[in-house]
Amino acid sequence: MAQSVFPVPSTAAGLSISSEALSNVPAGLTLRNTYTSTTTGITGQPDVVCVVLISGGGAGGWGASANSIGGGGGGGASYAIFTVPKFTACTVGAGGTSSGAGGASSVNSFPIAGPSGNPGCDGRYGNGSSANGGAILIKSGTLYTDYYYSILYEMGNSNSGQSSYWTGGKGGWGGYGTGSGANAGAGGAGGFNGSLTGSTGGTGAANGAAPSGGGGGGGGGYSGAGGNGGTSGANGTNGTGIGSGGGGGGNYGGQGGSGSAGAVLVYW
Amino acid sequence: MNFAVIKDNKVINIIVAETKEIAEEATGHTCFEYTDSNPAVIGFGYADGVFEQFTINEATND
Repeated sequence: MAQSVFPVPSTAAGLSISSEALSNVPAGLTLRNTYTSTTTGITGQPDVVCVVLISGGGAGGWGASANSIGGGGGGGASYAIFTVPKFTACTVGAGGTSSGAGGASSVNSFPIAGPSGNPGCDGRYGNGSSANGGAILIKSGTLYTDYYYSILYEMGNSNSGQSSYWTGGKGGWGGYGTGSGANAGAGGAGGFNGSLTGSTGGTGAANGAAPSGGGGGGGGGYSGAGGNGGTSGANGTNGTGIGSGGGGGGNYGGQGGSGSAGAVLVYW
Repeated sequence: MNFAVIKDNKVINIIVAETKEIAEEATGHTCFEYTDSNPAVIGFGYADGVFEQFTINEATND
């Protein structure tokens, strides 16, 4: 359901908004709206507002069907904080499904007139090692010199091989069922929490007892925790919070969980 | 409900909206609802009500 409880923040059931203030929202601003569904016809804002765009979390990856490898957990959402002119419409990214990335959230129809958070990335089929977080792009990546918006801060968990900026959380690795005793599945780092640090995902299933290899835990979303890795042959559990990642599928073809939807928070 | 945002027969985003009209007004693009049984994934193609991954034909040296 859309949350447009102007001019007070939303408190609808099911939301997991942190009680901890985002440390990089400018001092003195108050959370006025929380949109958890795409909304048009927004009015009543001052000329300039501060928005937090939270993408949908990535879906967990599928477990391999033949070689006992669990799927990676989905990445936690990426998010960004901007000051923007007042806007009339916002889109809210959906959580990823079917091993796919989560959707982007935006205001005023990116890329025409607004910034957009790119989605949390998906887990990968049978191997969570490449379940990287999604990047943030604004106006097709040319955000730094844009005269119209000022970027106050952004942070997801930075992942290896990715830019140190504009990255979302990383999904967990699936466990390996090789029986070799090597390379236990690692837990996934989540997207972020209210203090702008990555939430840690759960530990994937340990190796060593073929056929093992549970799915990796999904990355934690906004103010949420990472999911737990699955035990032998079982799916990992989803992360919690807005924009959390889905748990990875267990080995032998387990389907990964879906990510959860993002949100748009508005401050002034 | 969840909607896929379509541009040039390709899924460019997936969003949450209460109606198709809201989704299309906010994005400026045609949107289609998707479900667990017919899931949309960013980067998939859309045709005749079905979301499908594009097939990549690998080049050969033949």
